[in-house]
Amino acid sequence: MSPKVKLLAAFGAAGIGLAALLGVLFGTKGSVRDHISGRYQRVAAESEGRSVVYTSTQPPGAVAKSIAGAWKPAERINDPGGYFLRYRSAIVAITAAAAGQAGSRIYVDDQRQGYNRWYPYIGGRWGTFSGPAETFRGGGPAAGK
Amino acid sequence: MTARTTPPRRTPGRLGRLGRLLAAAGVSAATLWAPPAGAVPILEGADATELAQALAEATDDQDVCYGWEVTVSDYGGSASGVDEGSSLGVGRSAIETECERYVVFEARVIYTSQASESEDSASFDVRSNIPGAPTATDLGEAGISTSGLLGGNDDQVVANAALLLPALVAEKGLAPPITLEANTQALPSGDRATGTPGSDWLRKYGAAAGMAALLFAGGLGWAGWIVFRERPFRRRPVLVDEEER
Repeated sequence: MSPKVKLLAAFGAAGIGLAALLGVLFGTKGSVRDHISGRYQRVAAESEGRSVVYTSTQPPGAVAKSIAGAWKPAERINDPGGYFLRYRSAIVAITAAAAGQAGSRIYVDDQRQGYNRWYPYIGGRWGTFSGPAETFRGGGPAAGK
Repeated sequence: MTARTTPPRRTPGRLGRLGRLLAAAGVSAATLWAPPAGAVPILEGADATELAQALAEATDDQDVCYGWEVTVSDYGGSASGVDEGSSLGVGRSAIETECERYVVFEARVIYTSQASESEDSASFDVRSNIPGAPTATDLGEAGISTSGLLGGNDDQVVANAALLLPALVAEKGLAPPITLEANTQALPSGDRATGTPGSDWLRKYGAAAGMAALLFAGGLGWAGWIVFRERPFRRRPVLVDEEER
């Protein structure tokens, strides 16, 4: 391969990289909030400001999987009553719909409001907790292979 | 996480020179050797108790016993053993007891010795006497992984897996669902969310942006190397025939 052909290939690779980089930087938008608002039914009566409630006909596990698959959470907590996903922009809680109803309810709050609302479940794990005990906050660095 | 409990210190006795040397060697060995992340017990006492209580509450609501059983085989040390518990309490199995219906998270973690060429490994499954009960695949889809069992937060993985079981059982229609109850009280003063997570955008697109930047930089670097080392635009010397002169 002649040097000129090699140079052409190199600039081609750089061009593709630059186009992809610009595409990622300027062509991607949205957030987990946008994702949820575009897919689930908003409950206007229970939503206020940055705290929004949605419903879904799917079970909580499927909803949690869908949301976490689209926007990977920084942290996740499972509970017998539902799932908590933590993002920089929101704390998302997914639980079963009220007794006798099928589907799920999805609560989207900011960090402060979400921590307050779900304090009995996430207190001590995603923030300070002056309750009787802190739970499952890690076991230290791995020492295995 | 509550602090790991440490064994009570022995009162120092009267050691001779040999004794002191042995003690010093022991301290060095203890400093160099650390048990693997999954050393039994994986769940500390307070955490295990709390997990058992949470499972007991789920049992009250669903009439299904839940539990966990993690078997650790440590071929390089002395951390082998079984960490188990259930709705019935810490250290108690839910299998073949008064529980008519049970669902138990079972895991096996193997730590090989430093001399072994084999890597550490882990596996997990769900044991139940309920037809149609959740499976290991269900847990995997909910984020439970073998790599997590080998990591430093193995206790969280075990707890998360066990706490998933009641929700999965409900979703399969085998028991009534349990709903979360929102807190309506004001938080104690000083309690608040901490440790703000990193950028959501970077978590989603960071890898793609990194690959694109790497391709861009690599292409430019390669082009620079060709220009300076192979000189593609250098004029080639013209050979002149002696006779033409």
